[in-house]
Amino acid sequence: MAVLSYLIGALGFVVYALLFMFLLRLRLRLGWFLLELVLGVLVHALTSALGLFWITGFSYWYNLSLYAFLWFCFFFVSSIYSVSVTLGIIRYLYDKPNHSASLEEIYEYCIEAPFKERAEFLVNTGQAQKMDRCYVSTIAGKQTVQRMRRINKMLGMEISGFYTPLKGDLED
Amino acid sequence: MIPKIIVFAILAGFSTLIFRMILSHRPFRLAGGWAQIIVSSLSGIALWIVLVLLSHSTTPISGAEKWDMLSGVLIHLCAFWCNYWISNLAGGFRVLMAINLADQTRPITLEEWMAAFGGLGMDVFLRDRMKSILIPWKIVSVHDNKMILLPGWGMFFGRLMAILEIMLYSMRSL
Repeated sequence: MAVLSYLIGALGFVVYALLFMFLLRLRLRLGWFLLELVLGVLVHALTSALGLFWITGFSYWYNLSLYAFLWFCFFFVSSIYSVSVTLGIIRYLYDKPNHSASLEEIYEYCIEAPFKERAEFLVNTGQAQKMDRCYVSTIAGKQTVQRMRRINKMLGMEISGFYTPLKGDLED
Repeated sequence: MIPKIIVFAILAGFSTLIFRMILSHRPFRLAGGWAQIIVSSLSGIALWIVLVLLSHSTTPISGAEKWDMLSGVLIHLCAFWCNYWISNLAGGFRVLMAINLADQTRPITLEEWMAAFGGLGMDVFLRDRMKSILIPWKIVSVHDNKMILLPGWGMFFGRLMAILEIMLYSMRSL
């Protein structure tokens, strides 16, 4: 029954992944992060209930551990695909006829455009406010920043947005 | 009832976050986020193995319990992801943008915001991505102010992105 319990976890994940890809195409108002979370819980609850009902000796924990691991892997791939600036550069070059572009073009389409898009996201979510051509942080934005700083302090993290620890190397 | 091996895995898995906090502060501070995540995850696994061995000091692990062990390993892999995501959540691109904006004393234009990114600006950000990942990983090469996707890893990641685009197309607009 152990194998069957793991199998239910794997099958649940396949159902989740297919449903997620289908629902993305419907362009729901729900953000993809919430969609992954809500759908992940719903599909798991459903497949676990089916397992508990149909399979004698079904182990919920085997089912959960495999499902959760696969869900995390999927979440990693989808979120990296969705937010990574580096992958955005690769995608942009791949779509070009000779797989090449000038640095100015790369900057405009892969750095400046995603920055603008994220700025709009911060405005739309109430974390920043746009006044004429200028941006300012809102109270909600400052509170979020404080929370993030607290987490960073707890984890001893110093975030810079740059991979190279020797920032001086990049300033040349 | 939850099997003992799985209970130990959950406890040891959650303890990796505590290990992570210990490893990120003096006197046990380890340099580098990745080193902290990996060492704390390995410490969690070691704690789990010790707990399992202590609980089985008189009886060996049975055939049925081997499935519990597999579940325990998967729980530890989940704990590793959780550890990774907590770091990522608090240190992402958008969070850094919000921090840079909150640090300003007056409203700023988009250009000023971009120049303030990470204290170095987006020009340096692009060079950082080139120097830290794209060029050393042999994904691209830069000649005469042109960036070219290289065969091998470059084309591999390009194709991977194309496949992901078919699967998750509306998740990324730019």
